[in-house]
Amino acid sequence: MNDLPSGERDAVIHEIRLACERTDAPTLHTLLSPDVVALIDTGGDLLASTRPLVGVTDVGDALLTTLGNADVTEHQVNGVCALVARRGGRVVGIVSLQVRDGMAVRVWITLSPLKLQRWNN
Amino acid sequence: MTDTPGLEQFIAVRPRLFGIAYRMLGSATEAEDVLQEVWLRWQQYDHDTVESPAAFLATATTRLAINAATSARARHETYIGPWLPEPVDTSADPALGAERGEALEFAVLLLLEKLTPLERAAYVLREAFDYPYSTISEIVQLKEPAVRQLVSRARKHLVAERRAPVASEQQRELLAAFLTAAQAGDFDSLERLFAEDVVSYSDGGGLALAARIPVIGRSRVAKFVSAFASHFWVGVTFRWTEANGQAAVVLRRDGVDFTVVTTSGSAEGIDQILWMMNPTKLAGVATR
Repeated sequence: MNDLPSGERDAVIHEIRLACERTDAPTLHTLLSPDVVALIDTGGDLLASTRPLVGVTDVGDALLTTLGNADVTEHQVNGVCALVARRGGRVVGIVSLQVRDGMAVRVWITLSPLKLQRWNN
Repeated sequence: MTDTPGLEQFIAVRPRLFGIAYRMLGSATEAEDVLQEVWLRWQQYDHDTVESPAAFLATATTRLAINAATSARARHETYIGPWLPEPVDTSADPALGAERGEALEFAVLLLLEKLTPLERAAYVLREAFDYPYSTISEIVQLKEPAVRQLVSRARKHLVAERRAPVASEQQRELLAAFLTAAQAGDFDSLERLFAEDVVSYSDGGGLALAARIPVIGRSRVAKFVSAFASHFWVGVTFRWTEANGQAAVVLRRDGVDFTVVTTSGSAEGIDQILWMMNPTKLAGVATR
């Protein structure tokens, strides 16, 4: 599913990381496609669960919440570059992205503690 | 290396077995459970009677993963909120035990979820691990032509859906499949056609009939569409047309065109349904 040379895709992911680090929502929004969709896996937690998010504002907010105020690294996840967020040394979220035309079109955010367990062993 | 019989052979192919099970299940934890079970079975086996331990172990792994995938499906359906694969660290092993890094990315794993476990198995063994069809046929216990068909169907499904937007001919097929399922009020078929994040918009131009708020999410939209099936489609005839260069269907009841339906598909199935009920906009499309 490499729609782009991985270099270009990785560059977008890098920019998204920097925008979140600076809590720079306007720049972040330019890196998201207008019809971007985010799915967040909270591990089946009823209170934390969300519907799919659509559009730069909601998806941008979710990215800022997940990646802001955390140590974020670019890491190979499922064969491609993704963002791994750590707080207090523990992995608290992993963001996988699909990029097209220089913008993220799909964002998958894993927050489920069970699915992050192996990252913290 | 060790005194435990069979351990060496098991260790040698372990990364590959994990790669098969993970791709089929989208879960490293469940893949480990499968491997645990394979190891137990392997230990109880008379190793001298096994000609190729690698083939034996791959077969056991695939079959157990098919069973696990079947029960996982039910769990995912009742999962609260979106279900995603368990992310795996591939910094050390980019292909995760495979000949190729195929079928590892989230986008592809989420598409694989929509295939039957058997289709998934055939696709993964072929595309990621390069198994010959004859071997896959033994593993999944189907005749070779059937396996070829499984793989080709899975491949077509995935390749078609990878492109966004989907080619116009497939858009038409998607819309036709949607109409069939919608008329039948077939909740399961609707769900299968939809992307997880499907949105149903109604443009009623202020008319009371149309839901003003978009309906979002696979099971919500499937519920929404199947809920009005019993009365909505009664006495309705339809004809194909085009709206904004896209395949569309005009619905007619009592000699009046009352709704135009279009769908658009993307990587994960139908991701948008538009019910155009606004009389002003309707006139423009329907008279074409």
